[in-house]
Amino acid sequence: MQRIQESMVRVVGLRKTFGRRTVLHDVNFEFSAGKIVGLVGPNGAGKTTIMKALLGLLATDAGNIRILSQPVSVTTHTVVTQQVGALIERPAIYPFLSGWQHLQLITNSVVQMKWVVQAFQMENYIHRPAKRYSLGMKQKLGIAMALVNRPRLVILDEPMNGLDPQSVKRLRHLIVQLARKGTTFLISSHILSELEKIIDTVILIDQGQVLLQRTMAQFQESARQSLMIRTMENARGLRVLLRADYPVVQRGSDLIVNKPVALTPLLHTLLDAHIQILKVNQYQEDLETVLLRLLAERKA
Amino acid sequence: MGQLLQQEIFKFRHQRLAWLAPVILVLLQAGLAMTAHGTSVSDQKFYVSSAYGGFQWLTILIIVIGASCVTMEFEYGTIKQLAIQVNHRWTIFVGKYALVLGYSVLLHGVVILMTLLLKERGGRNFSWQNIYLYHQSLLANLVTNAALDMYGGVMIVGLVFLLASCSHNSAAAIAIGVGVCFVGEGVSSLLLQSFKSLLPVMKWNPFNMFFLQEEYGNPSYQQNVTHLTIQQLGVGNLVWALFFVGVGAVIFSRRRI
Ligand SMILES: Nc1ncnc2c1ncn2[C@@H]1O[C@H](COP(=O)(O)OP(=O)(O)OP(=O)(O)O)[C@@H](O)[C@H]1O
Ligand SMILES: [Mg+2]
Repeated sequence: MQRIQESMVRVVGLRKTFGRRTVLHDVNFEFSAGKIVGLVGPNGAGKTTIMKALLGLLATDAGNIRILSQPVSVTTHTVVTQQVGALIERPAIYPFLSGWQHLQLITNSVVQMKWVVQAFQMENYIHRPAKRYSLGMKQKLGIAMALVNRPRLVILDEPMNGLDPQSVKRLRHLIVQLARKGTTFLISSHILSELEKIIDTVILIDQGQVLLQRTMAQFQESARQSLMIRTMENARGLRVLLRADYPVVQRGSDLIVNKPVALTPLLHTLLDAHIQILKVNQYQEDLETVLLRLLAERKA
Repeated sequence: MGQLLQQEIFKFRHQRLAWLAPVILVLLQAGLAMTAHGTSVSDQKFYVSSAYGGFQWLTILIIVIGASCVTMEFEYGTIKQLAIQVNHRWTIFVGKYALVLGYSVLLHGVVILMTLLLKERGGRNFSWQNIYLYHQSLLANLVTNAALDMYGGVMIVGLVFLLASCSHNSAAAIAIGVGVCFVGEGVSSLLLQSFKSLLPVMKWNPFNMFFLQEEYGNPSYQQNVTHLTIQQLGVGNLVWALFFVGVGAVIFSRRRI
């Protein structure tokens, strides 16, 4: 972990039990300011619970949470009240207030309110009472409420819930923009493809434990690469490649090489055996596949 | 705390009930006034000094408002947003309590004003200066009743807040709150009559405190019903109010969100 940058969030030995069930076991992670961190894991993994603990909404059984080096607990979380914006589970909305009035509850700055309304293109309905909002409109308002104060840390729990593709794209864009200016994001989601494009770091949790924390760069390295080759004579091609010690299998009408290999020698091997090549494709596992594989490997 | 209270007021005045409550009160008072104006002068004086039933209706409305003001935060899930804005969750609870008491003062003002108007229209055959109970003028009686009612509200709202912080929807808290306020007196008298030996302790039960205002209107209650003086009832109300608010605030802060 880089020590030069300011540590935004530091969680050490966090444990939480509900009755006799332990839902968080010894959770540890840390990330620095200006990062976009994805908190991913299957349903019931403990994402929301971790976020609530970070906000001082939940009494924990053990462990230490610090945001900007200041302690966070149910009774002491001044740093949360001043530096953090959050959307947890579902947006906190009073049906009798308009969207604009919700923003007024959080900030006095009309400039910031206008900015956030524009950023989410809510101009058309922001003055309508929230009881007449659709699911996605409420969700946008919830995110807007987390951002309107321009907090240093923004915690978003499943922010893409109910948003249409354009809105998701706009949200992603906004998050990246704000992160460039120094805002730190902790975002949970199980729609990984939506997070993949913007996050710097992934924290994978399952059954209340942190399985791994990696930067996207590290992920790219560990992502498996595979090569797909289609030839006129797959059966002979398979024999030739196996003889040359390539880790190859036949799948349907394709030959698959499951290791990163140099392409030219491999093609030479085939061509030297007078096998005609129809198609070559290179695949890299995406984040989702890697994570699912890691989860599956853990279960096994 | 100041900002918290401002937020609460902001939310409150955007709720329909906040504006509807005075209208409902005024209409109910006017309704009772119409029937009251045909009765004897002494009955009319009683109606006037009790604001044409306004205080009773006000209590019900305050119970409804108090209960929903607490439970709505859990119903709408807005408690999370509130809780991350303050260091101690009990401050939200106390802020709301202060708001509802403040609103109760406002409503009492409305009720008194309306009583003045209604008497102007109907009860011309006696004057505000007429001596009524305690050798005080009718007007003084009305104001004292209002003050006692407001004071009693301190405990009732505390109780309702306690109930609301335990319950998951406002309907339950409202039903229990209204029930307790109107059956409570009966329960207390029954207790005091049934367990005569425990009287010295039992007379301090919270339900007995509901008699504060009635004992003022019917001084004989001290001997027959409450076994406490007005002053003792006053102290009892306050102590129970503190107890209810204290316990309510703890439950409110500990509630899982
Ligand atoms: N109030 C509660 N009482 C008892 N158990 C709870 C409570 N809240 C959460 N849990 C348990 O804690 C575990 C973690 O829940 P959490 O809500 O953090 O999961 P999550 O990762 O956010 O899941 P999802 O992706 O479905 O939102 C779950 O097994 C859940 O059953
Ligand atoms: Mg969740």
